[in-house]
Amino acid sequence: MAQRIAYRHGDIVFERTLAEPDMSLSKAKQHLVIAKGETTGHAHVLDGEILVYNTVEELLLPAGRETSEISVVEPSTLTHPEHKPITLPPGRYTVRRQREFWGESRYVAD
Amino acid sequence: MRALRGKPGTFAWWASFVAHVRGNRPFCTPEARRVLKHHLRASAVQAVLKGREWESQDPYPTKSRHRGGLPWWLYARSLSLGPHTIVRHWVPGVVVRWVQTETGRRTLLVAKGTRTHRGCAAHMTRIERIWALYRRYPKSIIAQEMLVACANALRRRGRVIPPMGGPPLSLQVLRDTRNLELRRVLVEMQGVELPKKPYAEDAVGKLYQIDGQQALLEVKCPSTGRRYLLGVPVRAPRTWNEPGHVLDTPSKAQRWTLGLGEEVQLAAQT
Repeated sequence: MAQRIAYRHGDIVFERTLAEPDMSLSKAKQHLVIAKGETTGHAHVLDGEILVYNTVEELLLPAGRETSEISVVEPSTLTHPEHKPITLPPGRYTVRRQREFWGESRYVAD
Repeated sequence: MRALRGKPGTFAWWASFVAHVRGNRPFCTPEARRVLKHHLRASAVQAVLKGREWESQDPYPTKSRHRGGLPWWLYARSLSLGPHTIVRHWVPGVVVRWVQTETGRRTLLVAKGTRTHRGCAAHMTRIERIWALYRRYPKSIIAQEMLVACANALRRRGRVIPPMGGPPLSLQVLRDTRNLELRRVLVEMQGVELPKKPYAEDAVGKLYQIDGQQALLEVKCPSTGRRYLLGVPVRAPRTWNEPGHVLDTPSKAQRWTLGLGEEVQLAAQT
């Protein structure tokens, strides 16, 4: 089993759970918008060969949805206007937002 | 083709027609209906159909005639906030302008009466106006977006965001301000009530203890250098996949906010 590693891009975390992509995810994307900033309009975008669940339409993490799964088939680049790009190696990833605690745990918005 | 609603020529028909042309859902709120009904004209729809106005490269279509008579929400395909959002959360005293930035054309929502300078982020010298607008409509997404955009524009130009006076923000305000960007700008402009000394400090940031359960983590973004304040627990609650443990350093607190266990290696962060 591959070592568990994670990549952080602003308030979005990509945790690699397995080194092999899950090919059972049938929906392929070349350009996947992960999440969009509420006040800035800036988006975290993943460009490459990515597999997602069929339910994913435009945004991987729209408001109210805080975690999701993707599979990266080929090295893909993660970009955002305010952050340096990161290249994600192939594998299965759990994608989630950063969270905080104010009496109870909740996910952050930006 | 998506089905058009109502009889041809009626408001419902035109609204669904425009929605189809724009590829969006139909306008639905009463306010949107009222505004749309007031501005919608057949000539404008024809211009959209012919594609003339969509391809216009004029970065400053502040006047109606520059947009070929189109209302701005039909013209603005590069709005950072969707037109539906803008119409739904509209506040008086705001006008829409466009500026050309390094990454493309950007919509700017500015306080009415603000002078727009060519090629720059416009309203940055008038942050007082935007602050006043935000104070009046603190829950408006438009006012929030304007405040954040203005503060970011000031920072990009190396200017100091002026303090706006008033008492420093309470922890309750931090808690209620869920948007981290807005929270950061508010803290920069008004300050915040914090304990005098952090109880832990390392390369990640500072940790302030508020009470027996609540702590505050101050971290610096590695890419932008901006400082953010996040609420964290003093003791991480035990869950089905996470053992409870004490967050006694900023590093541990930051890993908790990212949901990373100790066995996970953070390969890159920007």
